[in-house]
Amino acid sequence: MIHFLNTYRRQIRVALILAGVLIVLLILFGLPITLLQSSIRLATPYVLGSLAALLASRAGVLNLAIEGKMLLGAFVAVVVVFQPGVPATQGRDPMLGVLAAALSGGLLGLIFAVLYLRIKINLVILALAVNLFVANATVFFMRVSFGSFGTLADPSIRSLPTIQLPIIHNIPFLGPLLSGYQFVVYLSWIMAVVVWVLLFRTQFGRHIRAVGQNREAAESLGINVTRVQIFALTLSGMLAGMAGSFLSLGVLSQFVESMTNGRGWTSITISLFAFEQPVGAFITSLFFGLAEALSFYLQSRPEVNLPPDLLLALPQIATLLALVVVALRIRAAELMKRRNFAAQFGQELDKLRRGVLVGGQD
Amino acid sequence: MPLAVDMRHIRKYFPTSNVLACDDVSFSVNRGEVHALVGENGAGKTTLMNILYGLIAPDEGQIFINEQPAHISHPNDAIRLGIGMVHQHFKLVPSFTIAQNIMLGIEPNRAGFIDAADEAEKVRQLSEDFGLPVDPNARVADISVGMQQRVEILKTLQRNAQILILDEPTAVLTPQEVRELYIVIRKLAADGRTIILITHKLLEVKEVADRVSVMRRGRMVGTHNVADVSIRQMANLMVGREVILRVDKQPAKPGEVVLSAENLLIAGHGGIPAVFGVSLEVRAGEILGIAGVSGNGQTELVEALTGLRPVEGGKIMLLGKDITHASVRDRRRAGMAHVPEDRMVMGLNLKTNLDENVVVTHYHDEPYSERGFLRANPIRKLARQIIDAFQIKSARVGEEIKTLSGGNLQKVVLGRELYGKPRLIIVNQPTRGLDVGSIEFVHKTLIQERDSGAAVLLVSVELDEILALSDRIAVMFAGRIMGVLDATIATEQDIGILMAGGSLEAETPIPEKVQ
Repeated sequence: MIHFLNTYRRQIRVALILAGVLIVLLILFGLPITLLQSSIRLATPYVLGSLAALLASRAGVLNLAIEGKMLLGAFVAVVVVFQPGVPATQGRDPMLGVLAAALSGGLLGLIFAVLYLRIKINLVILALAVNLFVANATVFFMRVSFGSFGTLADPSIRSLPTIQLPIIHNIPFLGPLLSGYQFVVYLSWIMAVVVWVLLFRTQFGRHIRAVGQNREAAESLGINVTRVQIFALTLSGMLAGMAGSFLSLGVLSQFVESMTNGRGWTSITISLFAFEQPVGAFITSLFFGLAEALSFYLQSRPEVNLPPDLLLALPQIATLLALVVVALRIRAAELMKRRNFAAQFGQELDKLRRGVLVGGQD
Repeated sequence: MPLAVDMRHIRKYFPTSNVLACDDVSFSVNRGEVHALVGENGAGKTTLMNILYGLIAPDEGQIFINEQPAHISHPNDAIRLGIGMVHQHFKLVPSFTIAQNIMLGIEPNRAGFIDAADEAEKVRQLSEDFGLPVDPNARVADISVGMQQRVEILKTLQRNAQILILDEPTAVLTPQEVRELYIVIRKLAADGRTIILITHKLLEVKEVADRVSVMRRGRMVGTHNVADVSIRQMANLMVGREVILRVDKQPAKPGEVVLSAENLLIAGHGGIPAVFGVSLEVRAGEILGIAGVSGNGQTELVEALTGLRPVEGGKIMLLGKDITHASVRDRRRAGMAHVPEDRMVMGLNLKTNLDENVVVTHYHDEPYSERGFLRANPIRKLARQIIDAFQIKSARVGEEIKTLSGGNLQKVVLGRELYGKPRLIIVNQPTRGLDVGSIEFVHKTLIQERDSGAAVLLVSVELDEILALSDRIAVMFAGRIMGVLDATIATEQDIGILMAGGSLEAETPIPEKVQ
């Protein structure tokens, strides 16, 4: 099996790409346009979340607190535009909420980085603490400051307006697919490009990748590893905060207790699945958006005779499958490495085998 | 001749490991020479160079670079002073290209955006200037180890290093790559650069260095012109010992083959073989000693034999049974005992009590457990037996062991491992860090086991110990066995030469000097 994978590496890669293209074409032409649109919309928190995850792992820190940072972003976005008694038309601009969410996520990312890198708190414990803290703090402040239980909603909280992109939205077929979304959706696309450029075209990104892959190499050349990681974690937090603002202001225009619902964790899965590549993470996120949209779509169809609980679990099933693939791939890479090692040096050994048996009787 | 490096009265003490790594060491290097710094493992040579490169702060002493007093508290200071270091384990980013690795931290950029074309061009120019051809756009993960080392050297040259420290540069190279490196080193020296070569290979010193400084146990024992000293003299300086331990023992009466390993191939750090084609046999009633500077594959060999590391090629037989891929438990059931290198980490669990520590190799057998439940009384009896048999003073049944002395801890390990008459005993550094009394006890115990018919494989970096205990001595170097000596006629010097990668067949072979 391993041998087979090794010899036909190229062919396998081509076959996988072809299969991928085929699936994409089938999806594009086989599914109703409304389903595709909601897939793209619902992919947004995954795109931003997985970018947050991969930026941190590229810098050598597994950011397990994305869930918490996302939830904070969702909460802050709503709080900023919340003005009881003010009619919807005169409420604050929801864009302000997005900005505040990004800043609060970045701030939490910065605090997280300082606690981890300067005060040297165990990463896993710290992430657990952040996630639990945000989950409980949002509930607490909802009750104490706003007197609401479970849900924070108000007419003054407007959801983000949709924006038609000029020219593009007039293109047949592609127009409705690429245009007519809210600001944060476009922002997530821009961010995928920005993160790619940052990582692969700038000096700072080069340093992030060097720190993540071989921190000693970076250190020995005088790169300030801690500073690079603090920056990366802060940016990661901002992206997670933006993702959260889409959940509260993009989908619902309200904050619901624990509304991230595991999307932060899924984002980490996506980042792993995509080999921490921004483009790969973007495409994988679209599939997760599709899984989520499909789950809503199928529930609304009377002719589909599947239990609704199963349909609700669609995104989770997709996550589980992705994790299995990630684990298998890591295992296969290890086996492949061992196999190659044995092949390469075994041959050399045969060539130079001198047959000296230590301690053999003469 | 002006001095490029002058280190005076350097002292460095590591309190955590209680080691005086540098004891009033003075070391000076002329500008434009190749200066070898030799010594056994733990002699302090790497510590001294890490001090020069700003990775370790000395407790006392002064450093002069180009005859100016220098303060070096960070590698950046060293780089600014024109010092470059090529570490034994390369510090490269595998997914980056050669150019990206060389320019890391000093990337040519416009407003933070990297100018990739300029970067590759700079590296091409650099490699041309020094006659060290590299492909700037090749990924480091795809190039050979020799090429990676060239990248490391270019990295220091790009930062304009005038003083190059090379730490064990030939450890991972093929013979062909070694010759190429020698040519590079001579060329850099001819250009007026100063090269400090950390090594324990004396042949290498003869081939490439102008002068040699020898360190032993944290002290500088002499600096000589290479032309004036023979390999034997250097070996003497390196390993010379004041005290020689002798253990009373009868000649061995070797019996059947207990352990045999054939052509073992074991992977080490970074996909390089740690053990490359080792074959050996240990018979009942004999002690086979494996000597060698640490880090030459002994640890990996022991781990593979005991089932802690996978074997990539070759075969291991224990009493006629193939155990190459057997589990640790199966190996132990077949009669193997293992006294590991580090008793605090691997040998014992210091967080629990004596009983659990001694039963840990037998807990799944009756009478220590029944139907999945541990039984306290038989376990306690076992602990008491071991305390009595090994006279472990101050150890109490059911009590913590973390307060015991090193010698008593090692007795606990030995007591557990030797319980139930193992046929094969693999011991790795059994007396590291012990006092004289405990060393004697461990040695006597091992001889007793041998005399009662066990096969013993002893791995140690202490030559005295190897000479005192072994019946035959195998010397490991760079993952291979360089030769096997009869312990009754082997001398420290012979072993020293083999340990340093030399050969005993020709009398101090001195190859032509590379120019």
